[in-house]
Amino acid sequence: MEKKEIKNIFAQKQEHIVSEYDKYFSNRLFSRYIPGIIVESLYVIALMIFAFFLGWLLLRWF
Amino acid sequence: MLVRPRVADYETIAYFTGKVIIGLGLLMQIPLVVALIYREWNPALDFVIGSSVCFIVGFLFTSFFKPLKNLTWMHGMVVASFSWLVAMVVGALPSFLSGHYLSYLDAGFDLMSGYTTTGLFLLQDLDHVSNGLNMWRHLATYVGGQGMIVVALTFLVSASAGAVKMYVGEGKDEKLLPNVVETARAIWLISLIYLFVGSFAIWIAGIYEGMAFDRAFLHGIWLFMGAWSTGGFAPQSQNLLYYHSLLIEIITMIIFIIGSFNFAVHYAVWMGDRKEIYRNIELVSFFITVILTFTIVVLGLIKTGIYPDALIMFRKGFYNLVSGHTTTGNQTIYARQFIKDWGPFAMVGITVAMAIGASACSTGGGFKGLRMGIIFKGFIQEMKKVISPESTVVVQKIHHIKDIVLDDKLVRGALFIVLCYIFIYGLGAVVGVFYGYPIPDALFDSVSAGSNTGLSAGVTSAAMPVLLKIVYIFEMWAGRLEFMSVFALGGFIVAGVRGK
Repeated sequence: MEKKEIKNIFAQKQEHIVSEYDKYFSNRLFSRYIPGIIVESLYVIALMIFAFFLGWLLLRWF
Repeated sequence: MLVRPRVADYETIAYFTGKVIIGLGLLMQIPLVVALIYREWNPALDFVIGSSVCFIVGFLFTSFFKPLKNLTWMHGMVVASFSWLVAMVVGALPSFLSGHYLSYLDAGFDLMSGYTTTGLFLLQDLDHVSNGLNMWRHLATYVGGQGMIVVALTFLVSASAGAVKMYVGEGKDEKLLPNVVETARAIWLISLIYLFVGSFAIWIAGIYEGMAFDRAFLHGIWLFMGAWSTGGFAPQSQNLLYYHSLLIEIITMIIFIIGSFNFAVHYAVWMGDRKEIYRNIELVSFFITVILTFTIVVLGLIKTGIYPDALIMFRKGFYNLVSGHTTTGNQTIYARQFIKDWGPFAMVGITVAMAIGASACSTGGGFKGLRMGIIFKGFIQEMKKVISPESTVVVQKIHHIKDIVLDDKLVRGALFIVLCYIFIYGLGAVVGVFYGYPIPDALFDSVSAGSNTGLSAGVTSAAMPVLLKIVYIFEMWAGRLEFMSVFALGGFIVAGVRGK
Protein backbone atom coordinates (compact mmCIF):
# COMPACT_ATOMS: atom_id res chain seq x y z
CA MET A 1 0.00 0.00 0.00
CA GLU A 2 1.23 3.44 -0.83
CA LYS A 3 2.07 5.98 1.76
CA LYS A 4 -0.69 8.31 0.54
CA GLU A 5 -3.31 5.60 0.82
CA ILE A 6 -2.32 4.81 4.35
CA LYS A 7 -2.55 8.49 5.20
CA ASN A 8 -6.05 8.62 3.72
CA ILE A 9 -7.27 5.64 5.68
CA PHE A 10 -5.79 7.11 8.81
CA ALA A 11 -7.50 10.46 8.20
CA GLN A 12 -10.84 8.75 7.56
CA LYS A 13 -10.54 6.79 10.78
CA GLN A 14 -9.68 9.93 12.71
CA GLU A 15 -12.71 11.68 11.27
CA HIS A 16 -14.90 8.75 12.19
CA ILE A 17 -13.63 8.72 15.76
CA VAL A 18 -14.15 12.47 16.14
CA SER A 19 -17.70 12.35 14.80
CA GLU A 20 -18.54 9.36 17.02
CA TYR A 21 -17.09 11.20 19.98
CA ASP A 22 -19.10 14.33 19.17
CA LYS A 23 -22.29 12.32 18.87
CA TYR A 24 -21.64 10.51 22.13
CA PHE A 25 -20.64 13.61 24.05
CA SER A 26 -23.40 15.93 22.86
CA ASN A 27 -26.00 13.23 23.31
CA ARG A 28 -24.89 12.62 26.88
CA LEU A 29 -24.41 16.26 27.77
CA PHE A 30 -27.72 17.65 26.59
CA SER A 31 -30.05 14.72 26.91
CA ARG A 32 -28.75 13.22 30.14
CA TYR A 33 -26.37 15.14 32.35
CA ILE A 34 -28.04 18.54 32.31
CA PRO A 35 -31.61 17.24 32.82
CA GLY A 36 -30.19 14.95 35.53
CA ILE A 37 -28.65 17.90 37.36
CA ILE A 38 -31.89 19.89 37.02
CA VAL A 39 -34.04 17.04 38.38
CA GLU A 40 -31.73 16.60 41.39
CA SER A 41 -31.66 20.36 42.05
CA LEU A 42 -35.47 20.50 41.89
CA TYR A 43 -35.69 17.89 44.67
CA VAL A 44 -33.43 20.01 46.87
CA ILE A 45 -35.23 23.27 46.08
CA ALA A 46 -38.60 21.61 46.87
CA LEU A 47 -37.14 20.46 50.22
CA MET A 48 -35.84 23.95 50.97
CA ILE A 49 -39.15 25.67 50.15
CA PHE A 50 -41.04 23.11 52.23
CA ALA A 51 -38.69 23.64 55.18
CA PHE A 52 -38.86 27.42 54.90
CA PHE A 53 -42.66 27.40 55.17
CA LEU A 54 -42.56 24.81 57.95
CA GLY A 55 -40.24 27.10 59.92
CA TRP A 56 -42.46 30.08 59.21
CA LEU A 57 -45.60 28.19 60.33
CA LEU A 58 -44.02 26.90 63.53
CA LEU A 59 -42.73 30.38 64.37
CA ARG A 60 -46.24 31.80 63.95
CA TRP A 61 -47.98 29.08 65.96
CA PHE A 62 -45.68 29.05 68.97
CA MET B 1 -9.37 -22.10 63.99
CA LEU B 2 -7.49 -19.01 62.87
CA VAL B 3 -5.26 -19.52 59.84
CA ARG B 4 -2.02 -17.57 59.93
CA PRO B 5 -1.67 -15.41 56.78
CA ARG B 6 1.00 -16.51 54.29
CA VAL B 7 3.81 -14.29 53.01
CA ALA B 8 1.91 -13.98 49.71
CA ASP B 9 -1.03 -12.45 51.60
CA TYR B 10 1.17 -9.76 53.13
CA GLU B 11 2.76 -9.12 49.73
CA THR B 12 -0.63 -8.71 48.04
CA ILE B 13 -1.79 -6.20 50.64
CA ALA B 14 1.51 -4.28 50.44
CA TYR B 15 1.35 -4.20 46.63
CA PHE B 16 -2.12 -2.65 46.44
CA THR B 17 -1.37 -0.29 49.32
CA GLY B 18 1.66 0.82 47.29
CA LYS B 19 -0.65 1.59 44.36
CA VAL B 20 -2.80 3.80 46.59
CA ILE B 21 0.29 5.61 47.90
CA ILE B 22 1.49 6.29 44.34
CA GLY B 23 -1.97 7.71 43.64
CA LEU B 24 -1.55 9.98 46.65
CA GLY B 25 1.82 11.18 45.34
CA LEU B 26 0.26 11.99 41.97
CA LEU B 27 -2.50 13.88 43.73
CA MET B 28 0.04 16.05 45.55
CA GLN B 29 1.11 17.48 42.17
CA ILE B 30 -2.09 19.57 42.09
CA PRO B 31 -1.40 21.57 45.31
CA LEU B 32 2.25 21.73 44.19
CA VAL B 33 1.21 23.50 40.97
CA VAL B 34 -1.09 25.84 42.92
CA ALA B 35 1.77 26.68 45.30
CA LEU B 36 4.11 27.37 42.36
CA ILE B 37 1.54 29.60 40.60
CA TYR B 38 1.17 31.69 43.75
CA ARG B 39 4.94 31.70 44.37
CA GLU B 40 4.59 29.93 47.70
CA TRP B 41 8.05 28.40 47.67
CA ASN B 42 8.04 26.84 51.12
CA PRO B 43 4.70 25.05 50.72
CA ALA B 44 5.85 23.97 47.23
CA LEU B 45 8.89 22.35 48.81
CA ASP B 46 6.63 20.60 51.35
CA PHE B 47 4.70 19.01 48.50
CA VAL B 48 7.87 18.04 46.64
CA ILE B 49 9.08 16.25 49.79
CA GLY B 50 5.64 14.73 50.42
CA SER B 51 5.17 13.40 46.90
CA SER B 52 8.77 12.13 46.74
CA VAL B 53 8.18 10.07 49.88
CA CYS B 54 4.92 8.75 48.35
CA PHE B 55 6.66 7.74 45.12
CA ILE B 56 9.62 6.10 46.88
CA VAL B 57 7.41 4.13 49.30
CA GLY B 58 4.86 3.34 46.58
CA PHE B 59 7.44 2.13 44.04
CA LEU B 60 9.26 0.08 46.67
CA PHE B 61 5.99 -1.62 47.62
CA THR B 62 4.92 -2.29 44.04
CA SER B 63 8.38 -3.39 42.85
CA PHE B 64 9.35 -5.73 45.67
CA PHE B 65 5.99 -7.32 46.34
CA LYS B 66 4.03 -9.36 43.86
CA PRO B 67 0.28 -9.71 44.27
CA LEU B 68 -1.70 -12.93 44.13
CA LYS B 69 -3.79 -13.36 41.00
CA ASN B 70 -6.96 -14.25 42.85
CA LEU B 71 -7.79 -11.85 45.61
CA THR B 72 -10.02 -13.06 48.41
CA TRP B 73 -12.55 -10.93 50.27
CA MET B 74 -10.08 -10.74 53.14
CA HIS B 75 -7.43 -9.16 50.87
CA GLY B 76 -9.87 -6.60 49.46
CA MET B 77 -11.15 -5.58 52.88
CA VAL B 78 -7.70 -5.37 54.50
CA VAL B 79 -6.29 -3.35 51.57
CA ALA B 80 -9.18 -0.88 51.87
CA SER B 81 -8.82 -0.29 55.60
CA PHE B 82 -5.01 -0.48 55.76
CA SER B 83 -4.43 1.83 52.80
CA TRP B 84 -6.57 4.54 54.44
CA LEU B 85 -4.34 4.40 57.53
CA VAL B 86 -1.13 4.52 55.49
CA ALA B 87 -2.55 7.34 53.36
CA MET B 88 -3.21 9.29 56.55
CA VAL B 89 0.37 8.91 57.75
CA VAL B 90 2.00 9.70 54.39
CA GLY B 91 -0.48 12.41 53.36
CA ALA B 92 0.03 14.28 56.62
CA LEU B 93 3.68 14.97 55.74
CA PRO B 94 3.25 18.18 53.68
CA SER B 95 0.61 19.40 56.14
CA PHE B 96 2.94 18.88 59.09
CA LEU B 97 5.88 20.52 57.27
CA SER B 98 3.76 23.65 56.77
CA GLY B 99 4.22 24.50 60.45
CA HIS B 100 0.50 24.96 61.03
CA TYR B 101 0.23 21.93 63.31
CA LEU B 102 1.37 21.44 66.87
CA SER B 103 2.21 17.76 66.32
CA TYR B 104 2.28 15.08 63.60
CA LEU B 105 -0.79 13.52 65.23
CA ASP B 106 -2.70 16.76 64.66
CA ALA B 107 -1.71 16.75 60.99
CA GLY B 108 -2.75 13.09 60.74
CA PHE B 109 -6.06 13.93 62.44
CA ASP B 110 -6.76 16.60 59.82
CA LEU B 111 -5.87 14.33 56.94
CA MET B 112 -8.08 11.53 58.26
CA SER B 113 -10.81 14.11 58.82
CA GLY B 114 -10.34 15.18 55.19
CA TYR B 115 -10.29 11.70 53.63
CA THR B 116 -13.30 10.57 55.63
CA THR B 117 -15.14 13.80 54.70
CA THR B 118 -15.58 14.69 58.35
CA GLY B 119 -14.38 18.29 58.48
CA LEU B 120 -13.13 18.59 62.06
CA PHE B 121 -9.71 20.24 62.11
CA LEU B 122 -6.85 20.96 64.46
CA LEU B 123 -4.98 23.28 62.09
CA GLN B 124 -3.69 26.48 63.65
CA ASP B 125 -4.39 29.89 62.11
CA LEU B 126 -6.50 28.67 59.19
CA ASP B 127 -7.07 32.21 57.91
CA HIS B 128 -3.40 32.53 56.98
CA VAL B 129 -2.79 29.18 55.37
CA SER B 130 -1.08 29.07 51.95
CA ASN B 131 -3.18 28.41 48.85
CA GLY B 132 -1.20 25.24 48.25
CA LEU B 133 -2.02 23.76 51.65
CA ASN B 134 -5.65 24.83 51.35
CA MET B 135 -5.82 23.05 48.00
CA TRP B 136 -4.33 19.92 49.58
CA ARG B 137 -6.86 19.90 52.45
CA HIS B 138 -9.81 20.31 50.12
CA LEU B 139 -8.48 17.89 47.54
CA ALA B 140 -8.05 15.27 50.26
CA THR B 141 -11.68 15.64 51.22
CA TYR B 142 -12.84 15.62 47.58
CA VAL B 143 -10.91 12.46 46.78
CA GLY B 144 -11.81 10.83 50.09
CA GLY B 145 -15.47 11.45 49.28
CA GLN B 146 -15.25 9.31 46.17
CA GLY B 147 -12.92 6.89 47.97
CA MET B 148 -9.19 6.13 47.72
CA ILE B 149 -9.88 2.75 46.20
CA VAL B 150 -12.19 4.33 43.65
CA VAL B 151 -9.28 6.59 42.67
CA ALA B 152 -6.93 3.64 42.41
CA LEU B 153 -9.48 1.62 40.43
CA THR B 154 -10.07 4.51 38.07
CA PHE B 155 -6.50 5.32 37.25
CA LEU B 156 -4.08 2.69 38.48
CA VAL B 157 -5.58 -0.78 38.76
CA SER B 158 -6.74 -2.76 35.76
CA ALA B 159 -10.02 -4.64 35.91
CA SER B 160 -9.67 -7.84 37.86
CA ALA B 161 -11.77 -10.11 39.97
CA GLY B 162 -10.16 -8.63 43.07
CA ALA B 163 -11.09 -5.04 42.26
CA VAL B 164 -14.67 -5.45 43.38
CA LYS B 165 -13.51 -6.77 46.74
CA MET B 166 -11.45 -3.68 47.45
CA TYR B 167 -14.30 -1.48 46.27
CA VAL B 168 -16.78 -3.12 48.65
CA GLY B 169 -14.19 -2.96 51.41
CA GLU B 170 -14.32 0.80 51.17
CA GLY B 171 -17.97 0.87 52.23
CA LYS B 172 -19.40 1.13 48.74
CA ASP B 173 -21.51 -1.79 47.64
CA GLU B 174 -23.43 -0.39 44.69
CA LYS B 175 -22.54 -1.50 41.20
CA LEU B 176 -23.67 1.19 38.81
CA LEU B 177 -22.32 -0.76 35.85
CA PRO B 178 -21.51 -4.47 35.51
CA ASN B 179 -17.76 -3.80 35.67
CA VAL B 180 -16.42 -2.36 38.92
CA VAL B 181 -13.75 -0.27 37.17
CA GLU B 182 -16.45 1.21 34.93
CA THR B 183 -18.47 1.89 38.09
CA ALA B 184 -15.52 3.73 39.65
CA ARG B 185 -15.16 5.79 36.47
CA ALA B 186 -18.88 6.60 36.48
CA ILE B 187 -18.56 7.84 40.07
CA TRP B 188 -15.69 10.10 38.98
CA LEU B 189 -17.58 11.32 35.94
CA ILE B 190 -20.56 12.37 38.08
CA SER B 191 -18.26 14.10 40.60
CA LEU B 192 -16.23 15.91 37.94
CA ILE B 193 -19.28 17.23 36.11
CA TYR B 194 -20.65 18.55 39.39
CA LEU B 195 -17.19 19.99 40.17
CA PHE B 196 -17.40 22.19 37.06
CA VAL B 197 -21.03 23.21 37.56
CA GLY B 198 -20.78 23.80 41.33
CA SER B 199 -17.42 25.58 41.38
CA PHE B 200 -18.54 27.87 38.57
CA ALA B 201 -21.73 28.78 40.47
CA ILE B 202 -19.84 29.59 43.70
CA TRP B 203 -17.17 31.46 41.73
CA ILE B 204 -19.78 33.74 40.16
CA ALA B 205 -21.52 34.16 43.54
CA GLY B 206 -18.17 35.09 45.13
CA ILE B 207 -17.50 37.75 42.48
CA TYR B 208 -21.06 39.04 42.96
CA GLU B 209 -20.38 39.34 46.70
CA GLY B 210 -17.29 41.44 45.99
CA MET B 211 -14.41 38.97 46.15
CA ALA B 212 -11.43 39.34 43.82
CA PHE B 213 -11.61 37.33 40.57
CA ASP B 214 -8.94 34.71 41.34
CA ARG B 215 -9.71 34.50 45.05
CA ALA B 216 -13.37 33.85 44.26
CA PHE B 217 -12.24 31.15 41.81
CA LEU B 218 -10.15 29.33 44.40
CA HIS B 219 -12.81 29.69 47.08
CA GLY B 220 -15.36 28.40 44.56
CA ILE B 221 -13.36 25.21 43.99
CA TRP B 222 -12.62 24.71 47.69
CA LEU B 223 -16.13 25.36 48.90
CA PHE B 224 -17.45 23.03 46.22
CA MET B 225 -15.02 20.28 47.24
CA GLY B 226 -15.92 20.70 50.91
CA ALA B 227 -19.66 20.71 50.21
CA TRP B 228 -19.89 18.04 47.48
CA SER B 229 -17.87 15.51 49.42
CA THR B 230 -19.96 16.38 52.51
CA GLY B 231 -16.65 17.21 54.14
CA GLY B 232 -17.35 20.67 55.45
CA PHE B 233 -13.86 22.07 55.09
CA ALA B 234 -13.71 25.76 54.17
CA PRO B 235 -10.73 28.07 53.59
CA GLN B 236 -11.69 30.39 56.45
CA SER B 237 -11.88 29.60 60.15
CA GLN B 238 -15.42 30.99 60.37
CA ASN B 239 -16.47 28.52 57.72
CA LEU B 240 -19.54 29.66 55.74
CA LEU B 241 -20.25 32.45 58.24
CA TYR B 242 -17.24 34.29 56.76
CA TYR B 243 -19.09 35.08 53.52
CA HIS B 244 -22.34 36.43 55.02
CA SER B 245 -23.98 35.54 51.75
CA LEU B 246 -27.42 33.97 51.32
CA LEU B 247 -26.52 33.15 47.72
CA ILE B 248 -23.41 31.15 48.64
CA GLU B 249 -25.31 29.45 51.46
CA ILE B 250 -28.08 28.32 49.08
CA ILE B 251 -25.61 27.10 46.44
CA THR B 252 -23.53 25.15 48.96
CA MET B 253 -26.71 23.71 50.48
CA ILE B 254 -27.86 22.43 47.08
CA ILE B 255 -24.39 20.97 46.46
CA PHE B 256 -24.08 19.14 49.77
CA ILE B 257 -27.60 17.74 49.63
CA ILE B 258 -27.00 16.43 46.10
CA GLY B 259 -23.55 15.24 47.21
CA SER B 260 -25.19 13.19 49.93
CA PHE B 261 -27.20 11.18 47.37
CA ASN B 262 -26.31 7.62 46.57
CA PHE B 263 -24.16 7.42 43.40
CA ALA B 264 -26.54 4.76 42.10
CA VAL B 265 -29.38 7.31 42.36
CA HIS B 266 -27.35 9.92 40.47
CA TYR B 267 -26.63 7.37 37.78
CA ALA B 268 -30.26 6.22 37.51
CA VAL B 269 -31.57 9.80 37.28
CA TRP B 270 -28.91 10.77 34.74
CA MET B 271 -29.68 7.74 32.63
CA GLY B 272 -33.30 8.85 32.36
CA ASP B 273 -35.04 7.20 35.31
CA ARG B 274 -36.42 10.48 36.68
CA LYS B 275 -39.03 8.79 38.90
CA GLU B 276 -36.23 7.45 41.08
CA ILE B 277 -35.95 10.89 42.67
CA TYR B 278 -39.24 10.52 44.54
CA ARG B 279 -39.53 6.73 44.67
CA ASN B 280 -36.13 5.85 46.10
CA ILE B 281 -36.34 4.78 49.74
CA GLU B 282 -33.25 6.79 50.69
CA LEU B 283 -34.52 10.04 49.30
CA VAL B 284 -37.97 9.51 50.83
CA SER B 285 -36.36 8.63 54.15
CA PHE B 286 -34.05 11.68 53.89
CA PHE B 287 -36.98 14.03 53.18
CA ILE B 288 -38.96 12.71 56.15
CA THR B 289 -36.08 12.70 58.65
CA VAL B 290 -34.99 16.20 57.61
CA ILE B 291 -38.48 17.55 58.20
CA LEU B 292 -38.85 15.72 61.54
CA THR B 293 -35.47 16.80 62.91
CA PHE B 294 -35.96 20.33 61.59
CA THR B 295 -39.26 20.51 63.49
CA ILE B 296 -37.40 19.55 66.68
CA VAL B 297 -34.71 22.16 65.97
CA VAL B 298 -37.27 24.93 65.26
CA LEU B 299 -39.24 24.09 68.42
CA GLY B 300 -36.00 24.19 70.43
CA LEU B 301 -34.95 27.48 68.87
CA ILE B 302 -38.39 29.02 69.47
CA LYS B 303 -37.93 28.19 73.16
CA THR B 304 -34.66 30.09 73.27
CA GLY B 305 -36.06 32.84 71.02
CA ILE B 306 -32.73 33.38 69.31
CA TYR B 307 -33.96 33.57 65.71
CA PRO B 308 -37.04 35.80 65.36
CA ASP B 309 -38.02 35.43 61.68
CA ALA B 310 -38.36 32.69 59.08
CA LEU B 311 -35.42 33.77 56.90
CA ILE B 312 -32.90 33.78 59.73
CA MET B 313 -34.37 30.49 60.96
CA PHE B 314 -33.74 29.09 57.47
CA ARG B 315 -30.20 30.45 57.22
CA LYS B 316 -29.09 29.42 60.70
CA GLY B 317 -31.47 26.64 61.76
CA PHE B 318 -32.14 24.80 58.51
CA TYR B 319 -28.68 25.31 57.03
CA ASN B 320 -26.87 23.85 60.02
CA LEU B 321 -29.41 21.06 60.44
CA VAL B 322 -29.13 19.93 56.81
CA SER B 323 -25.38 20.36 56.97
CA GLY B 324 -25.44 17.98 59.96
CA HIS B 325 -27.95 15.58 58.38
CA THR B 326 -25.93 15.23 55.18
CA THR B 327 -22.86 14.85 57.44
CA THR B 328 -21.23 17.86 55.81
CA GLY B 329 -20.32 20.17 58.67
CA ASN B 330 -20.42 23.59 56.99
CA GLN B 331 -21.47 26.03 59.70
CA THR B 332 -23.11 29.44 59.61
CA ILE B 333 -22.70 29.92 63.35
CA TYR B 334 -19.76 29.65 65.76
CA ALA B 335 -19.13 26.28 67.41
CA ARG B 336 -19.97 27.50 70.91
CA GLN B 337 -23.29 28.92 69.71
CA PHE B 338 -24.65 25.36 69.57
CA ILE B 339 -24.21 25.23 73.33
CA LYS B 340 -24.86 28.87 74.23
CA ASP B 341 -27.68 29.84 71.84
CA TRP B 342 -29.36 26.68 70.60
CA GLY B 343 -30.13 25.01 73.92
CA PRO B 344 -30.40 21.27 74.61
CA PHE B 345 -33.65 20.57 72.73
CA ALA B 346 -32.45 21.95 69.39
CA MET B 347 -29.15 20.13 69.92
CA VAL B 348 -31.04 16.85 70.30
CA GLY B 349 -32.56 17.46 66.86
CA ILE B 350 -29.23 18.11 65.16
CA THR B 351 -27.44 15.27 67.00
CA VAL B 352 -30.09 12.79 65.83
CA ALA B 353 -29.81 14.19 62.29
CA MET B 354 -26.01 13.73 62.32
CA ALA B 355 -26.35 10.19 63.66
CA ILE B 356 -28.77 9.24 60.85
CA GLY B 357 -26.57 10.79 58.18
CA ALA B 358 -26.64 10.64 54.42
CA SER B 359 -27.17 7.95 51.77
CA ALA B 360 -25.32 4.67 51.37
CA CYS B 361 -22.65 4.62 48.62
CA SER B 362 -22.40 8.38 48.75
CA THR B 363 -19.76 10.71 50.09
CA GLY B 364 -21.59 10.95 53.44
CA GLY B 365 -21.53 9.01 56.69
CA GLY B 366 -23.83 8.03 59.56
CA PHE B 367 -26.39 5.18 59.75
CA LYS B 368 -27.46 6.02 56.16
CA GLY B 369 -30.96 6.59 54.81
CA LEU B 370 -31.10 3.14 53.22
CA ARG B 371 -30.63 1.42 56.58
CA MET B 372 -33.15 3.71 58.27
CA GLY B 373 -35.63 2.85 55.52
CA ILE B 374 -34.96 -0.88 55.82
CA ILE B 375 -35.30 -0.84 59.62
CA PHE B 376 -38.50 1.22 59.45
CA LYS B 377 -40.03 -1.07 56.83
CA GLY B 378 -38.88 -4.08 58.87
CA PHE B 379 -40.68 -2.60 61.87
CA ILE B 380 -43.85 -2.15 59.79
CA GLN B 381 -43.55 -5.74 58.58
CA GLU B 382 -43.31 -7.03 62.15
CA MET B 383 -46.35 -4.93 63.16
CA LYS B 384 -48.33 -6.32 60.24
CA LYS B 385 -47.34 -9.87 61.21
CA VAL B 386 -48.59 -9.30 64.76
CA ILE B 387 -52.02 -8.04 63.72
CA SER B 388 -52.53 -10.45 60.80
CA PRO B 389 -53.82 -14.03 61.09
CA GLU B 390 -51.05 -16.57 61.66
CA SER B 391 -51.19 -18.09 58.19
CA THR B 392 -50.76 -14.73 56.46
CA VAL B 393 -47.53 -14.16 54.60
CA VAL B 394 -46.55 -10.51 54.96
CA VAL B 395 -44.39 -9.24 52.13
CA GLN B 396 -42.78 -5.84 52.44
CA LYS B 397 -40.91 -4.18 49.60
CA ILE B 398 -38.51 -1.30 49.40
CA HIS B 399 -37.60 0.62 46.29
CA HIS B 400 -33.94 1.32 45.71
CA ILE B 401 -33.18 1.43 41.99
CA LYS B 402 -35.36 -1.67 41.76
CA ASP B 403 -38.01 -3.21 44.02
CA ILE B 404 -36.40 -5.32 46.72
CA VAL B 405 -38.33 -7.78 48.90
CA LEU B 406 -37.46 -7.21 52.52
CA ASP B 407 -36.14 -10.27 54.33
CA ASP B 408 -34.74 -10.90 57.81
CA LYS B 409 -31.16 -10.99 56.54
CA LEU B 410 -31.45 -7.48 55.14
CA VAL B 411 -32.97 -6.08 58.35
CA ARG B 412 -30.41 -7.89 60.52
CA GLY B 413 -27.51 -6.54 58.43
CA ALA B 414 -28.84 -2.97 58.68
CA LEU B 415 -29.39 -3.28 62.44
CA PHE B 416 -25.88 -4.66 62.98
CA ILE B 417 -24.23 -1.70 61.25
CA VAL B 418 -26.46 0.78 63.11
CA LEU B 419 -25.44 -0.88 66.40
CA CYS B 420 -21.76 -0.52 65.45
CA TYR B 421 -22.31 3.20 64.83
CA ILE B 422 -24.07 3.60 68.19
CA PHE B 423 -21.12 1.85 69.83
CA ILE B 424 -18.52 4.24 68.38
CA TYR B 425 -20.69 7.29 69.13
CA GLY B 426 -20.87 6.06 72.74
CA LEU B 427 -17.16 5.28 72.90
CA GLY B 428 -16.12 8.82 71.95
CA ALA B 429 -18.69 10.33 74.29
CA VAL B 430 -17.50 8.22 77.24
CA VAL B 431 -13.85 9.16 76.65
CA GLY B 432 -14.84 12.83 76.30
CA VAL B 433 -16.80 12.75 79.58
CA PHE B 434 -13.85 10.98 81.24
CA TYR B 435 -11.67 13.97 80.39
CA GLY B 436 -14.17 16.34 81.96
CA TYR B 437 -16.23 17.61 79.00
CA PRO B 438 -19.98 18.06 79.66
CA ILE B 439 -22.12 15.16 78.36
CA PRO B 440 -23.97 17.10 75.58
CA ASP B 441 -20.72 18.55 74.21
CA ALA B 442 -18.87 15.22 74.34
CA LEU B 443 -21.78 13.37 72.70
CA PHE B 444 -22.21 16.04 70.02
CA ASP B 445 -18.57 15.98 68.92
CA SER B 446 -18.34 12.20 69.16
CA VAL B 447 -21.42 11.69 66.96
CA SER B 448 -20.00 14.33 64.64
CA ALA B 449 -16.71 12.41 64.30
CA GLY B 450 -18.30 8.93 64.03
CA SER B 451 -20.84 10.01 61.43
CA ASN B 452 -18.17 11.98 59.51
CA THR B 453 -20.06 15.23 59.93
CA GLY B 454 -17.60 17.78 61.32
CA LEU B 455 -19.88 20.12 63.24
CA SER B 456 -18.31 20.90 66.59
CA ALA B 457 -19.63 22.12 69.91
CA GLY B 458 -16.11 23.17 70.88
CA VAL B 459 -14.57 19.93 72.17
CA THR B 460 -12.38 19.37 69.10
CA SER B 461 -9.32 21.55 69.38
CA ALA B 462 -5.55 21.15 69.32
CA ALA B 463 -5.63 21.34 73.13
CA MET B 464 -7.78 18.26 73.60
CA PRO B 465 -6.21 15.11 75.12
CA VAL B 466 -4.14 12.85 72.86
CA LEU B 467 -6.29 9.79 73.60
CA LEU B 468 -9.42 11.66 72.55
CA LYS B 469 -7.75 12.63 69.27
CA ILE B 470 -6.87 8.98 68.63
CA VAL B 471 -10.42 7.86 69.49
CA TYR B 472 -11.86 10.45 67.08
CA ILE B 473 -9.45 9.31 64.34
CA PHE B 474 -10.64 5.73 64.91
CA GLU B 475 -14.28 6.86 64.85
CA MET B 476 -13.82 8.76 61.59
CA TRP B 477 -11.98 5.87 59.94
CA ALA B 478 -14.30 3.08 61.12
CA GLY B 479 -17.42 5.14 60.44
CA ARG B 480 -16.34 5.97 56.89
CA LEU B 481 -15.43 2.38 56.00
CA GLU B 482 -18.62 1.09 57.63
CA PHE B 483 -16.85 -1.34 59.96
CA MET B 484 -16.61 -4.50 57.85
CA SER B 485 -13.13 -3.82 56.50
CA VAL B 486 -12.04 -2.58 59.95
CA PHE B 487 -13.14 -5.91 61.43
CA ALA B 488 -11.28 -7.67 58.59
CA LEU B 489 -8.08 -5.78 59.41
CA GLY B 490 -8.51 -6.59 63.11
CA GLY B 491 -9.07 -10.25 62.26
CA PHE B 492 -6.04 -10.26 59.96
CA ILE B 493 -3.80 -8.89 62.70
CA VAL B 494 -5.12 -11.38 65.27
CA ALA B 495 -4.64 -14.23 62.78
CA GLY B 496 -1.09 -13.03 62.16
CA VAL B 497 -0.30 -13.19 65.89
CA ARG B 498 -2.32 -16.18 67.05
CA GLY B 499 -3.08 -18.15 63.89
CA LYS B 500 -1.66 -21.56 63.08
